[in-house]
Amino acid sequence: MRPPALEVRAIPNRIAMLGSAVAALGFFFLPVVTLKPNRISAGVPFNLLQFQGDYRYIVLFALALVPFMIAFRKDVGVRGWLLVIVGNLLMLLTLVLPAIAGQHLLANAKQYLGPNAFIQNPRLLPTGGLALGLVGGYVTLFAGLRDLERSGVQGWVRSLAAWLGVAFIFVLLVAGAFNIYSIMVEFHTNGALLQQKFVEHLMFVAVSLVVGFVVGVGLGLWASRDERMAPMILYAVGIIQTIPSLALFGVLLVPLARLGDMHFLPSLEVFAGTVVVAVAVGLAYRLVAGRLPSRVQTAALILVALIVAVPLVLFTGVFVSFVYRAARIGFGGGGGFGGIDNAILALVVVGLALWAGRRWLFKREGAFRLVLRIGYLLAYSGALVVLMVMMVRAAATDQFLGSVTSVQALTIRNLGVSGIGVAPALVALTLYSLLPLVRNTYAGLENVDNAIIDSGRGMGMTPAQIFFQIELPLAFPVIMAGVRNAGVALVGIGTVATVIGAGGLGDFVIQGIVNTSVDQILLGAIPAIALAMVLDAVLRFVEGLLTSPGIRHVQNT
Amino acid sequence: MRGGGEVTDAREGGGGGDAVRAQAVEAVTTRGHGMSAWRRFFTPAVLVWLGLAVLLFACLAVRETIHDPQLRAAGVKEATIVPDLWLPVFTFNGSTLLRIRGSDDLRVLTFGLTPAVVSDSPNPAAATDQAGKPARVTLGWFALFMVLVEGLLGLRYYGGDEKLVRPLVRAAGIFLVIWSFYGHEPFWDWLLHGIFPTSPDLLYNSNTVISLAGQHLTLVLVSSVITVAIGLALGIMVTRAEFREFLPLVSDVVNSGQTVPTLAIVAIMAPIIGFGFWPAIVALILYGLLPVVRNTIVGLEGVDPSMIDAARGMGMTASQILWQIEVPNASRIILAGVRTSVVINVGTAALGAYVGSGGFGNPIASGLNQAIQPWVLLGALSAALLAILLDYILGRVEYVMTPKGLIIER
Amino acid sequence: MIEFQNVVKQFPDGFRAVNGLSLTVHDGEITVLIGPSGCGKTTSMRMVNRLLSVTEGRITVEGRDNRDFPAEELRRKIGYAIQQIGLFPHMTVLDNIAVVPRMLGWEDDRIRKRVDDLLELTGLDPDVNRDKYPRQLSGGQQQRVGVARALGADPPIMLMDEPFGAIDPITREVLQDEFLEIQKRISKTIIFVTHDIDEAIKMGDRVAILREGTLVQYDTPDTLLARPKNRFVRDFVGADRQLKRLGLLRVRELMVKDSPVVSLRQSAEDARRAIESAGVKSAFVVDEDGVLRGWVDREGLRENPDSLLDAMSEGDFREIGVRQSATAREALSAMVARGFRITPVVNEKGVLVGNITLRALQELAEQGWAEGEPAS
Repeated sequence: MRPPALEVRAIPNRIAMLGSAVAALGFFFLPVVTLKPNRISAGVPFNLLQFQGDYRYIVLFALALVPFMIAFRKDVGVRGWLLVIVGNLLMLLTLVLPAIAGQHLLANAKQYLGPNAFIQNPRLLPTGGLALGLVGGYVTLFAGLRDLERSGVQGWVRSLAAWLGVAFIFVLLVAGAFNIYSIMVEFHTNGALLQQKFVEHLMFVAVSLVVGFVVGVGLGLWASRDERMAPMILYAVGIIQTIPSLALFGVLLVPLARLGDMHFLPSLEVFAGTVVVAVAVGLAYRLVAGRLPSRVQTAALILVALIVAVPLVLFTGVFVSFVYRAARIGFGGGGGFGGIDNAILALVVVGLALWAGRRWLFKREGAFRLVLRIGYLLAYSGALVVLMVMMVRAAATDQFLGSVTSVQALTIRNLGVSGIGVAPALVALTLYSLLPLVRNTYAGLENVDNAIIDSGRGMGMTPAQIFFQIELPLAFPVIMAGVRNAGVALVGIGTVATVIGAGGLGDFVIQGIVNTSVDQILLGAIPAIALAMVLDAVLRFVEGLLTSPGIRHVQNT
Repeated sequence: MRGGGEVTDAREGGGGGDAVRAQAVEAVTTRGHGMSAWRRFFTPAVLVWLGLAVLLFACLAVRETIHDPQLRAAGVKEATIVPDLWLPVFTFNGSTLLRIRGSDDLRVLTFGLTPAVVSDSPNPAAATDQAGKPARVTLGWFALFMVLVEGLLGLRYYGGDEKLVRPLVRAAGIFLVIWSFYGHEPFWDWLLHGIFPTSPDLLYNSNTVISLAGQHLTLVLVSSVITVAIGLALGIMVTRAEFREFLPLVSDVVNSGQTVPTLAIVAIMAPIIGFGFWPAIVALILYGLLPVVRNTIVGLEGVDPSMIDAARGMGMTASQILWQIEVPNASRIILAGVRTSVVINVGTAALGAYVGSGGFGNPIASGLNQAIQPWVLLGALSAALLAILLDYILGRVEYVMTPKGLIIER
Repeated sequence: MIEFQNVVKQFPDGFRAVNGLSLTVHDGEITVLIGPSGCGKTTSMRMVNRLLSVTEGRITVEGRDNRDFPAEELRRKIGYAIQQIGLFPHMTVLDNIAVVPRMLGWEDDRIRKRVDDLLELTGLDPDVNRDKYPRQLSGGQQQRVGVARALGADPPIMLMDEPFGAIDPITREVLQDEFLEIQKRISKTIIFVTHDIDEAIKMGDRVAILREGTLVQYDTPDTLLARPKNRFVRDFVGADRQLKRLGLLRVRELMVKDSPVVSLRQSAEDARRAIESAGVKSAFVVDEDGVLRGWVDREGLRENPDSLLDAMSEGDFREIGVRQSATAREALSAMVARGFRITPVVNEKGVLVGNITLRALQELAEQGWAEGEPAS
């Protein structure tokens, strides 16, 4: 018989101790900020205990030690709340207090930097101590949340507790409390450029992801329907993934440059030729594959995969570049975010509407299948409409094809393909998105329990019904996980695209390296990280929305 | 990145079909005992090596006129495109073209050339250098040697499930062939001239391909060794009972670490540590840790608890259970993580060029900066080749190191 | 001998799984721990080899507190088999069985011989199976290897946690029978946990019924069925406990030799005389080897007074007889199915060795009923 009072066994919270140690050691040994006379020059580091004449900043150091003491409390619930509060406070004060102290440092910059320093737009560079303070705060917060979880506090309360500090920091950020830090100085000088680069980044990631989704899910479906093709397809996309991003950009540079030089009509013949060859080789392989010894088969597979990949890459390359160009022009115009504002707004409204109606949508068993289909239909037709609007708007401008007036004069470059610029980035990103998409689509469909399909068949469902009503809904979370993985990866790889002139947030990073400016590097990196996280969260939201409640517990990586 | 899907689910097999499958396995392993030794010698791999050997010998006949101004200035006007076997894997130190020219040490450049070409050289120092050089073996002979080795292995283990010597020997052979090509400048000259017939610049002007390969490989190997050591230790630690409370924290960090762009990690190291080898290494370790730690955790957590219960019940100590039961059973997933990590590191190491760590990123970055496409292609092709090569070799290692009982009937 | 002395197990979350258990496990016997889920049977077993620690009280193994030994050393002396088997898939069958012997430092030759013996014992051909991997074996084969592994270093004591639980009913029966045969030869002291009362009655020399961490009744299966201590036990063993009891008795022990037997060589007249002199209705017919060939009754003899072959009803001994190794329950079932009041008992080769009557079985069951019904 279970006794009524379940006392959770209270062992000291060692995660909290870790957080405490990280923050305290960071504050003790590393400088919190560096006072820099200008953007380039090295500055003078300041320890937390060194803020002259202002010993109240010792408070921060003391605060870093608090989680260590709380960690030994036995009452897990109270301990959790204390740790959450201290963790949030630690993150907040780690940012706020040096900013306050910094006013004094900046005001007396000459005194600290020496008379010879060239002081122009002096700034505070956050350094190791500050970073470790934030990490310590995060770890403490995490420790607190674990305690709360163990003592049975509800999920949404915990989420609220977790994000409260961050939200407050964000408010302070917007209010300008941290403008003293060098990264914010950099942000304010480069604000407009950052916005432009961010949009650029978002655009080429989004376009590659969408095209990658179409191609990748298609290939995944093909692989799952055709056993003999499956290893070939998976092998091909796997090989792409091993190629370093910088190398892939480089490799694509030459063929895309040459492709761009081609005229449109002859290029069609070339493309048709590669398609014919690929189809012939693919069919021939399918015919003989079963009879070959397994090792020869593997070797043949590699060869065939390479040949089949040629028209695929060609088509994808031109298509993706074209879509991007159309999107840029179609959504461009208004300056800043341009038409993207409206598109995002529309998406948000649709998303909220779906979310608000989710109970009604998913409540009735019978309605679910219908709703799922309507959802797909809406998504697809929505995408189509957006695409068409874009095209029309693009065509309405004369930017699109410039001075080209006849088909004979049309070159592939007019469609947006070139060796340097965004085209190789788009192709490379699309190719990189394939592996997670193909693999997850394939795995998702393969892992659908055969018994379920069998019972569907037994009830007299047609293959199409089985696919749309059974396989797709069951594989959906796995496919969406693939989309998320691909999206997050693309945002990261997208930063490298700057080296081939594609622009995006990587511009800041590379410039930052050239100038050895941490601020500029972070100016590129932080929005990229934020973009990846937001993209992940949004896709998770969509996934949750469109997944049957019955299989929502399915965990996926 | 590759990470996510390598984490395969390790559900237990079992049930009625096993016996049938076991018989099938037996049937496969005993197949071919009746075949003649002749046919058992000529495995498909042997045929491929044989074909390669023929190709290499045939290519010896191709005399390639060198177009790269640097090579011509060094006295190399004509060469075959087939390299000699390049055994000294790490002789790239200080062997930049400029230094070689300065010291008249042509070893790096001429190692792959046939003697006739060297004697054509107007540089007398090159001729005298002949005497102290190690014996050279053109790559065709090496391919024939591999024919023999593979054939004998085929005879010994025909149709069997030998999974130690054969995969590793083959991987080593392939590595040596590709490494030899890295060491043979005339080959790259021929290749790049073929693609860019009008370009005045062909080969990267401040380093040889083999030294770039060496730098790149050093970056990857040094960082990977450290990464695997740290990652395994961390993964094992947080799955032990004593430190299990840190598991969610580590998983959380490992998963969200994915969102940080590799370029940003590499870039941020430069202002902190400075330019050169070490910032790249630190960045490589940080990013490479993610798949290793994640797969170690997933692998160890995926070990069937009943197996561990049985092991405890039989009186195994905690460390015996870890090393004899848990790690072997998780090895598949752990090794997949290591492989992913190394492949990612090859890519990240290319970015290291921007913080001055050398490697194949150098010609790419310089080529893009100065609009010299051959350099970009040289670096890109070499880096891609290295990544695929390492992926292949690690795949073989993974296969060799995964316990046989886990591969059977899958 | 294993002794539980007022053992209490309380988990960190406060749950008391075992609450003052006292129990003596006798040497060379199979002691079954049984009860509804959550009764503490597995917990009790796992405390013996200290996979779980005892909160209060103590467990002695061969007279010594099990906490006197280092845990690992103790466990190596106690065989351990579980429902999930837990074979190590990366090791061959040989390596699996050799785990404990190797830890104990046995020499390779001895280990190899031991493994072969054990495979032999558990009904697996050593030459075929020694170097296989667990995934190449069927579920039943895996379970045999699991038992062989538990027996690896010839431990005097074995702990078995539903070892046949995950196997299909037919294979389970076979494995149970085989294991009983093995136990006859090796006479280990075994603690056997199960939730299946039929298995408990079949396997156990003694059965301990647990409920909420306490011992309810500890008796031989026969006593348990005949005289359940209270309503809980009576419900637990089931309404058909009388039938179950019959399952404990072998036909061999119940059969008599009071039915007349005639040989195929004898005449119809001989048969009639035998039947009449015994005062029964029929006689069994055997061939020259004593193998049961059929039976003959008065009616048949009346219709065919001249030929025994014509008068008799022929039948295969497998169909009309019961084996002497069958349980009384099986015999009863066979008799009800065939509508016989008396049925011949044969040995493995079909030789008639005796007969058993419906009345005898009926009396047996009634006797238990009368004895076992508690007053309240």
